[in-house]
Amino acid sequence: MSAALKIRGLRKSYGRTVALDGLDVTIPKGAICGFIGPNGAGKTTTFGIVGGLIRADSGEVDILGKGSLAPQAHPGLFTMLPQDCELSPHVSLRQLLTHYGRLQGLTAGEAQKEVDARLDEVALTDRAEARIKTLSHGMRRRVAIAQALLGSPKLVLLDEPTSGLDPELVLRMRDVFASHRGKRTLVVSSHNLLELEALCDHVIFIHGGRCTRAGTMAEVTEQGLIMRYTVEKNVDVTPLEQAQAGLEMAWEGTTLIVRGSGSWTAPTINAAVVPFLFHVSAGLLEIRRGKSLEDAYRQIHSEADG
Amino acid sequence: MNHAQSIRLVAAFDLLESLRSRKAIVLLLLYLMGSLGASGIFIRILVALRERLEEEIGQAVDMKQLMESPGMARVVGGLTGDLDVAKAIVTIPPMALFYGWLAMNFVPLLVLFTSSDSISGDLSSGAVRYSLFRTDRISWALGKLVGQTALMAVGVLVGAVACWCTGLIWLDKMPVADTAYWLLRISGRAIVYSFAYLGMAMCASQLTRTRARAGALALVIMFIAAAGGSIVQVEPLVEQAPALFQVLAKLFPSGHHLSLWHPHLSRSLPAMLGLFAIGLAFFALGFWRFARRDA
Repeated sequence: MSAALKIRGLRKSYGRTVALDGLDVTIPKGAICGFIGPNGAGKTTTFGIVGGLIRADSGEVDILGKGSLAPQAHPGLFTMLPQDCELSPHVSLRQLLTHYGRLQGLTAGEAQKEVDARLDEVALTDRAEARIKTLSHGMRRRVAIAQALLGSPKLVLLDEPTSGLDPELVLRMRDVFASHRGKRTLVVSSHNLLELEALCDHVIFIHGGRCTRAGTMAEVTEQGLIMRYTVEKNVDVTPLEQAQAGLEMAWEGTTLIVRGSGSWTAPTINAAVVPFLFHVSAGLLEIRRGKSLEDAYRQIHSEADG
Repeated sequence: MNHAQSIRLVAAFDLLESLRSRKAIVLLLLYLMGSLGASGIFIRILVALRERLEEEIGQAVDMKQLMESPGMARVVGGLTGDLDVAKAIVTIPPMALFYGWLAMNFVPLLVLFTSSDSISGDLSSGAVRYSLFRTDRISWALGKLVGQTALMAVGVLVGAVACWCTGLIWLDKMPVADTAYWLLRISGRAIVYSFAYLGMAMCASQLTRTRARAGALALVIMFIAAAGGSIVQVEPLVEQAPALFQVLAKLFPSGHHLSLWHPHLSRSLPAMLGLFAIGLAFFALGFWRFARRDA
């Protein structure tokens, strides 16, 4: 699969503070990729550099195989949602979005259609003629999301897209982003790991300006190797461990974590473990595949901290 | 999308945005009211002068004849130091002449308040970040410059219309068509003259990323330009090295002021080009920084 975004050796310092320290990242075309890291890890700086807003000290950025961002080379192919930026307050939603659409190469007619579609997507059709300054914070955030999805961009960077939205809108926006799966590459930076786990198929962890882990969601959360069984009461699993070679088991509270190696797969682990848990009346409550993204984050973060 | 299309789109949006902002509307209204008030005062002075003159010589005075008389040309020639310019000036209807003086003195101030935050405002609010991945920086900044020039032109023309209307209502025997024609011509010159100052405001707007700093910096640049322009025209200094000071004077807007009124294009066109070049040079200086900064 070819890359939508390739970053090599990206460095950026603000005075003595190193924001990016030789970042290497590759994001495949068509992926919805979570960009995860603690505050100050360099996520927003990376987005800024890719979007041509921030000047890198060194390193290379390749967008869609056409080099670093140049609006003439990437006409309408790249868009982004920057973090914490105000929208022009005096114009209406329609005027603003039409302007952005035209600026990225849409004709007046195309821009009009796109604006209608995007406003519908973010549930703001009824406010199309309202001035930006009359909108609430959440509404402005949705306008900002709408501008990032205008036209037919092939690569979209979204920096904290759902911050400040109520839970219902967070779910709606997640569905909106998911509906673009396969049509474009979305890179989503967020601290909401549950949201990213539900949405993304790829993940990149960044820490101290470097990539600490990257891969598919299944790889990062070890979905092919780990199963988690939550039960009512802990039971002795030594007999099961002795009977099934290649399965490692450990309790984490009332959750039994089973790690398979060799030829074990999720269905075969289930076939071995579930009957046993019923047999010993453990009171099986929940089965989950792999680690949670939160667990993966904790582990990778602590490894990076040394 | 080519550069020209991007510039046109950014300029049109910038003008729309400015005209819908309370600040620009208030400033344009203030300028309009100032034009109306100053025109009214000027008409009163003009009428009072004519009445006084009529009382003294005991017959009706035709202001047009008086303005175009050789004596008046000599007086204006003495003031301007150029008889050709003086002869051209005395043929301009008084209302248009007055508006030219008003616009060239006050539009640079108007520009200071309307345009110094044009780019710095977008930098401080972050609004610039929604545009710079869609178009390149030079097209965006030039679009802003064109948009602010259009806003300034709107201000100058609205003031000219106000001046014309005031004259039509209060001034007896105002040459209606001639005044309108000259107001239009003089508005064009005022726009060209003020463009040099607009370039300074846009320079400051690109050098800083807060509105207050940009305003203060624009004021400092304009003050230095005005003071510098006056200093290089001080006679005892000019007499020391006339050629040098003649060239130095052309680096400041005031050095082109008089030539703008010259009847021959061979003198007025270089002045217009000079003013345009000053504005663009300041804009380019600001852009040099803007092109390299983080947005």
